[in-house]
Amino acid sequence: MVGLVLNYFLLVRTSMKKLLLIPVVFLLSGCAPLLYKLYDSYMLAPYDNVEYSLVNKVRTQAEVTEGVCSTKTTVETNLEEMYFVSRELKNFSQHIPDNKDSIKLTKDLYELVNNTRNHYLNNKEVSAVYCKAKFKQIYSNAETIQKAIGARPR
Amino acid sequence: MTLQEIRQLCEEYAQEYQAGRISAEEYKDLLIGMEISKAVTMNAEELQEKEELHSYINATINVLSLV
Repeated sequence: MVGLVLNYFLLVRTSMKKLLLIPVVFLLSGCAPLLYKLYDSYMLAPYDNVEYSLVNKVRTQAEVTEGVCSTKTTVETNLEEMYFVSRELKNFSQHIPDNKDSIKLTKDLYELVNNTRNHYLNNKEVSAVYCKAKFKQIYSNAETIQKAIGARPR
Repeated sequence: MTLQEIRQLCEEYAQEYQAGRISAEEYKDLLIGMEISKAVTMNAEELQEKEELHSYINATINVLSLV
Protein backbone atom coordinates (compact mmCIF):
# COMPACT_ATOMS: atom_id res chain seq x y z
CA MET A 1 0.00 0.00 0.00
CA VAL A 2 2.78 2.38 1.03
CA GLY A 3 4.62 1.49 -2.16
CA LEU A 4 1.53 2.25 -4.22
CA VAL A 5 1.12 5.72 -2.63
CA LEU A 6 4.82 6.49 -3.15
CA ASN A 7 4.54 5.43 -6.78
CA TYR A 8 1.52 7.70 -7.19
CA PHE A 9 3.37 10.72 -5.79
CA LEU A 10 6.39 9.95 -7.96
CA LEU A 11 4.14 9.86 -11.02
CA VAL A 12 2.50 13.16 -10.08
CA ARG A 13 5.90 14.75 -9.47
CA THR A 14 7.39 13.71 -12.82
CA SER A 15 4.30 14.65 -14.83
CA MET A 16 4.06 17.95 -12.95
CA LYS A 17 7.63 18.70 -13.96
CA LYS A 18 6.72 18.12 -17.59
CA LEU A 19 3.58 20.20 -17.19
CA LEU A 20 5.59 23.00 -15.61
CA LEU A 21 7.99 22.97 -18.54
CA ILE A 22 5.27 24.08 -20.96
CA PRO A 23 4.52 27.50 -19.36
CA VAL A 24 8.22 28.06 -18.70
CA VAL A 25 9.04 27.53 -22.39
CA PHE A 26 6.16 29.81 -23.41
CA LEU A 27 7.22 32.44 -20.90
CA LEU A 28 10.83 32.41 -22.02
CA SER A 29 9.99 32.61 -25.71
CA GLY A 30 7.49 35.40 -25.08
CA CYS A 31 9.84 37.29 -22.81
CA ALA A 32 12.91 36.93 -25.01
CA PRO A 33 12.75 40.50 -26.38
CA LEU A 34 12.19 41.85 -22.88
CA LEU A 35 15.05 39.79 -21.45
CA TYR A 36 17.26 40.96 -24.29
CA LYS A 37 16.33 44.58 -23.60
CA LEU A 38 17.05 44.14 -19.90
CA TYR A 39 20.42 42.58 -20.66
CA ASP A 40 21.19 45.30 -23.20
CA SER A 41 20.30 48.03 -20.72
CA TYR A 42 22.31 46.49 -17.92
CA MET A 43 25.38 46.04 -20.12
CA LEU A 44 25.25 49.63 -21.45
CA ALA A 45 28.67 51.20 -22.09
CA PRO A 46 29.46 53.80 -19.41
CA TYR A 47 29.72 57.56 -19.93
CA ASP A 48 32.73 58.53 -22.01
CA ASN A 49 34.33 61.96 -21.61
CA VAL A 50 35.96 61.97 -25.04
CA GLU A 51 32.76 60.99 -26.84
CA TYR A 52 30.84 63.72 -25.02
CA SER A 53 33.52 66.31 -25.73
CA LEU A 54 33.60 65.53 -29.47
CA VAL A 55 29.80 65.83 -29.77
CA ASN A 56 29.98 69.12 -27.92
CA LYS A 57 32.63 70.38 -30.36
CA VAL A 58 30.43 69.61 -33.38
CA ARG A 59 27.46 71.27 -31.68
CA THR A 60 29.44 74.43 -30.83
CA GLN A 61 30.97 74.67 -34.31
CA ALA A 62 27.50 74.40 -35.89
CA GLU A 63 26.14 77.02 -33.50
CA VAL A 64 28.96 79.45 -34.37
CA THR A 65 28.77 78.77 -38.12
CA GLU A 66 25.02 79.44 -38.22
CA GLY A 67 25.85 83.03 -37.32
CA VAL A 68 28.40 83.57 -40.12
CA CYS A 69 26.40 82.25 -43.09
CA SER A 70 27.03 85.41 -45.09
CA THR A 71 30.77 84.60 -45.44
CA LYS A 72 31.16 81.46 -47.54
CA THR A 73 34.90 81.03 -46.93
CA THR A 74 34.42 81.10 -43.14
CA VAL A 75 31.59 78.57 -43.44
CA GLU A 76 33.77 76.30 -45.56
CA THR A 77 36.69 76.52 -43.11
CA ASN A 78 34.41 75.72 -40.16
CA LEU A 79 32.80 72.93 -42.13
CA GLU A 80 36.16 71.26 -42.80
CA GLU A 81 36.92 71.30 -39.09
CA MET A 82 33.42 70.00 -38.28
CA TYR A 83 33.86 67.23 -40.84
CA PHE A 84 37.13 66.15 -39.21
CA VAL A 85 35.69 66.20 -35.67
CA SER A 86 32.50 64.32 -36.62
CA ARG A 87 34.58 61.69 -38.43
CA GLU A 88 36.87 61.41 -35.41
CA LEU A 89 33.78 60.94 -33.22
CA LYS A 90 32.33 58.25 -35.50
CA ASN A 91 35.64 56.36 -35.50
CA PHE A 92 36.10 56.79 -31.75
CA SER A 93 32.67 55.31 -30.92
CA GLN A 94 32.94 52.45 -33.38
CA HIS A 95 34.85 49.88 -31.31
CA ILE A 96 33.74 50.67 -27.76
CA PRO A 97 32.01 47.50 -26.44
CA ASP A 98 28.23 47.65 -25.78
CA ASN A 99 28.04 51.01 -27.52
CA LYS A 100 25.77 50.22 -30.48
CA ASP A 101 23.34 53.09 -29.76
CA SER A 102 26.11 55.68 -29.79
CA ILE A 103 27.57 54.13 -32.92
CA LYS A 104 24.26 54.68 -34.74
CA LEU A 105 23.96 58.26 -33.43
CA THR A 106 27.51 59.34 -34.24
CA LYS A 107 27.28 57.76 -37.70
CA ASP A 108 24.14 59.79 -38.39
CA LEU A 109 25.78 63.00 -37.21
CA TYR A 110 28.76 62.35 -39.44
CA GLU A 111 26.44 61.72 -42.40
CA LEU A 112 24.68 65.02 -41.76
CA VAL A 113 27.96 66.95 -41.70
CA ASN A 114 29.34 65.06 -44.70
CA ASN A 115 26.24 65.81 -46.81
CA THR A 116 26.59 69.51 -45.99
CA ARG A 117 30.28 69.46 -46.84
CA ASN A 118 29.58 67.76 -50.18
CA HIS A 119 26.93 70.35 -50.98
CA TYR A 120 29.41 73.16 -50.37
CA LEU A 121 32.12 71.40 -52.38
CA ASN A 122 29.82 70.84 -55.37
CA ASN A 123 28.10 74.23 -55.49
CA LYS A 124 29.60 77.66 -56.02
CA GLU A 125 26.46 79.43 -54.88
CA VAL A 126 24.81 78.43 -51.61
CA SER A 127 21.78 80.30 -50.30
CA ALA A 128 21.84 81.85 -46.83
CA VAL A 129 18.51 80.16 -46.03
CA TYR A 130 20.00 76.73 -46.76
CA CYS A 131 23.10 77.55 -44.73
CA LYS A 132 21.14 78.61 -41.66
CA ALA A 133 18.71 75.68 -41.90
CA LYS A 134 21.48 73.14 -42.39
CA PHE A 135 23.62 74.29 -39.48
CA LYS A 136 20.54 74.46 -37.30
CA GLN A 137 19.91 70.81 -38.21
CA ILE A 138 23.47 69.83 -37.25
CA TYR A 139 23.29 71.88 -34.06
CA SER A 140 19.93 70.38 -32.95
CA ASN A 141 20.98 66.82 -33.69
CA ALA A 142 24.29 67.23 -31.90
CA GLU A 143 22.39 68.58 -28.89
CA THR A 144 20.00 65.61 -28.92
CA ILE A 145 22.96 63.21 -29.06
CA GLN A 146 24.76 65.13 -26.33
CA LYS A 147 21.75 64.78 -24.02
CA ALA A 148 21.52 61.05 -24.66
CA ILE A 149 25.26 60.38 -24.30
CA GLY A 150 25.58 62.62 -21.25
CA ALA A 151 23.01 60.60 -19.31
CA ARG A 152 24.94 57.34 -19.68
CA PRO A 153 25.68 55.46 -16.45
CA ARG A 154 28.82 56.60 -14.64
CA MET B 1 14.57 67.65 -31.77
CA THR B 2 11.05 66.27 -31.36
CA LEU B 3 9.05 64.66 -34.16
CA GLN B 4 6.63 67.62 -34.00
CA GLU B 5 9.52 70.06 -34.56
CA ILE B 6 10.75 67.96 -37.49
CA ARG B 7 7.32 68.11 -39.16
CA GLN B 8 7.18 71.88 -38.61
CA LEU B 9 10.63 72.37 -40.16
CA CYS B 10 9.66 70.27 -43.20
CA GLU B 11 6.71 72.63 -43.76
CA GLU B 12 9.04 75.65 -43.44
CA TYR B 13 11.44 74.19 -46.02
CA ALA B 14 8.54 73.61 -48.43
CA GLN B 15 7.53 77.27 -48.06
CA GLU B 16 11.13 78.44 -48.66
CA TYR B 17 11.33 76.27 -51.77
CA GLN B 18 8.00 77.52 -53.11
CA ALA B 19 9.13 81.10 -52.52
CA GLY B 20 12.34 80.41 -54.50
CA ARG B 21 14.68 81.16 -51.61
CA ILE B 22 16.32 77.70 -51.85
CA SER B 23 17.11 75.59 -54.93
CA ALA B 24 15.64 72.15 -55.62
CA GLU B 25 18.94 70.53 -54.69
CA GLU B 26 19.11 72.43 -51.41
CA TYR B 27 15.51 71.49 -50.64
CA LYS B 28 16.28 67.82 -51.29
CA ASP B 29 19.37 67.96 -49.07
CA LEU B 30 17.41 69.59 -46.25
CA LEU B 31 14.77 66.84 -46.47
CA ILE B 32 17.48 64.16 -46.36
CA GLY B 33 18.76 65.94 -43.26
CA MET B 34 15.29 65.72 -41.74
CA GLU B 35 15.23 61.96 -42.38
CA ILE B 36 18.52 61.70 -40.49
CA SER B 37 17.12 63.91 -37.71
CA LYS B 38 14.16 61.55 -37.36
CA ALA B 39 16.50 58.58 -36.98
CA VAL B 40 18.64 60.48 -34.45
CA THR B 41 15.58 61.43 -32.38
CA MET B 42 14.30 57.85 -32.29
CA ASN B 43 17.70 56.31 -31.50
CA ALA B 44 18.39 58.89 -28.80
CA GLU B 45 15.00 58.12 -27.20
CA GLU B 46 15.83 54.42 -27.26
CA LEU B 47 19.19 55.07 -25.60
CA GLN B 48 17.57 57.23 -22.92
CA GLU B 49 15.06 54.46 -22.24
CA LYS B 50 17.92 51.99 -21.78
CA GLU B 51 19.70 54.40 -19.44
CA GLU B 52 16.59 54.68 -17.28
CA LEU B 53 16.22 50.91 -17.25
CA HIS B 54 19.89 50.56 -16.33
CA SER B 55 19.54 52.78 -13.27
CA TYR B 56 16.33 50.95 -12.31
CA ILE B 57 18.09 47.56 -12.51
CA ASN B 58 21.02 48.88 -10.47
CA ALA B 59 18.72 50.32 -7.83
CA THR B 60 16.87 46.98 -7.60
CA ILE B 61 20.16 45.08 -7.24
CA ASN B 62 21.26 47.47 -4.49
CA VAL B 63 18.00 47.00 -2.60
CA LEU B 64 18.17 43.22 -2.94
CA SER B 65 21.77 43.11 -1.75
CA LEU B 66 20.73 44.96 1.42
CA VAL B 67 18.11 42.30 2.24
